Amino acid sequence: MGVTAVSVSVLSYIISLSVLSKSQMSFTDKMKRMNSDLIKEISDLENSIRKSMKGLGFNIHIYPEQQDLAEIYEQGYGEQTMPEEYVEKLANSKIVTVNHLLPRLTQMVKWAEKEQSVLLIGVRGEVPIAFRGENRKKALIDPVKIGDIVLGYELHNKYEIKLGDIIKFMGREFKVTATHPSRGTIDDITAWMALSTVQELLKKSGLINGILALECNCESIDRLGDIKKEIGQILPGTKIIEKESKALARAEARNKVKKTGEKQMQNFALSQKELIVSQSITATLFVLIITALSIGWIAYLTFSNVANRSVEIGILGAMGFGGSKLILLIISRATLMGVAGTLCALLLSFLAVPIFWGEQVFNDIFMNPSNLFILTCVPTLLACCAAWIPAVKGALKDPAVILRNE
Amino acid sequence: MNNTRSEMALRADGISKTYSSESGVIRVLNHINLELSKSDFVTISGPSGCGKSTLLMILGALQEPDEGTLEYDGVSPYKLNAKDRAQFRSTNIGFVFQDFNLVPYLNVRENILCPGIVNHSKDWGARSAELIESLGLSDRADHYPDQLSSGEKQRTALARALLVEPSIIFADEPTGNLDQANGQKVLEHLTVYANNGAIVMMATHDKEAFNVGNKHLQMAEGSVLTLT
Repeated sequence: MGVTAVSVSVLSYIISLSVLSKSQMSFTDKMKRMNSDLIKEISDLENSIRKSMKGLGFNIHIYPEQQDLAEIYEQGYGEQTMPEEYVEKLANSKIVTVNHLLPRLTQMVKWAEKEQSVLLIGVRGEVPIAFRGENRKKALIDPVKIGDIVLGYELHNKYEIKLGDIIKFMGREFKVTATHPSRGTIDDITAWMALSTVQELLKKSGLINGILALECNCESIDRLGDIKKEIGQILPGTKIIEKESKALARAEARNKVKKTGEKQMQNFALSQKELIVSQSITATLFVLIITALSIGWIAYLTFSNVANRSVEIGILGAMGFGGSKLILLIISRATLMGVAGTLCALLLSFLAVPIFWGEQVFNDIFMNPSNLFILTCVPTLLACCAAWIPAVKGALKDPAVILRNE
Repeated sequence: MNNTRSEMALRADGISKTYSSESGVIRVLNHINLELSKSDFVTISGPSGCGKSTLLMILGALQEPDEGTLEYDGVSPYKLNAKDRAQFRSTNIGFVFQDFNLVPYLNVRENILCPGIVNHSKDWGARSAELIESLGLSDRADHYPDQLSSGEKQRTALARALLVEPSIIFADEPTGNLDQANGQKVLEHLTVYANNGAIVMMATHDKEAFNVGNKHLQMAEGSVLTLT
């Protein structure tokens, strides 16, 4: 019975360890999975935002300092110009808040040949940000070659102009290399040409009236402030406005998704940790109760054993066995109980733990030196402790009283 | 028998003992005086409850008297502390009981060697073999108490008492549970042991056994009636 008590106690400890270890492993796996899912979701979202931004066009506009912004909001572009080299200056700086730089010269003109108002935009494609080298972002738009023209929907549709047609514009001939579908915006009456051509047509050589900066890298709430601060340091004579907020809204959404995901993971981690703490407390109480019952049971068995062996104890005392020898004799039986019970429990555990909780849990429990010490030594020590009081009481019995009663 | 023991004299003066019970205080021994020397084989008889066993316990340094003194060659065991008194018993005193009181999980040889665990004065292996042989237990040496007859058990108990060659043997009804033949064997061994210079005190109800000793003590109601 004593062996059973020790075995039950050791087994309860091993079961508790196994359940806790399994919970911990499951929690760690879930956290890894959630983290991996979140990273993938954010990555997917970033790709999707990048694609969306291509269609959204420009979101930061840089204008000359003297430009009246009312004019910009009224007609969509400004009359004031700045040197084209500003964009080179930006491109050669260490700018980090924007990824793409597109200089342009814009003006509403009369297409004399067709008596049509046209928003003429001269572009030179993307100016690569020099310091990023091979790591620079892929260009979002292609430049328009000299001699080519790209027409908005109203311009090609109204005059039945097809791709490849040669058209006359402001006295010069251009080849139509692209036509846009209807966008329902001012783009529909816009014509795009090479920047240098437009500069010649408008007699504004070496000048531009805006730089578009795309893909803002700002994460703070004051994103425009961040950009203004950085660009203002590089190009002091400029002013910056945000004309298109969809991309930033998406960037915000991306950040929000990320933060929400992280918050969810934190909440999950917190709830799991609380669960594990709660499980640990329950398991500890369970083990303590079982151990206390086992100690009580072993103490009871030892008391009974001492009572049953009183004659033996008496005769040994009469023969000259001292108290310490008698205590050792009695406790040796409890020690045997502890050793036998522990061995039985370990044997059962070696068979059962890998089957019910897996190899990993088995290794966690049995390859851990402190656990091994607890499992092999503590039950026997507790059994000896449980037998201590009965042993002392037995050893203190008067041999004469025992033998006389016998 | 190889006699290496020290030879002692026992002197008890005015030994008295009372027990308290629910019915009151019982005076078990009343001023017992005894003086024994080597080779005395004292047999004690008297009705049950007359104090025979208590006298043996007190003289065997197991139970302190309420009054009186006990000396073994000038050594008073009750003036020793518990550890030294236990050591004194293990060296000088042997006990034989009516119910044998063998340790059940030890075999005959191990039971006989038990006193040797606390008395380290020599290796008791040869002595135990000699006793096993002389007491006719050779074919039973590896048997456990529950495999022995009563006679074999008592001879084992006697061998255990004789192992360390104590100066004094106290035997309480050693033949009480034995048939005549086995009882006779035990008495013969005790007689031989006394003749070799030891003191043997034996309480008995058996008249034949009572006559074995060279001194006979009659007790009644805790007092010595006669000592012849």
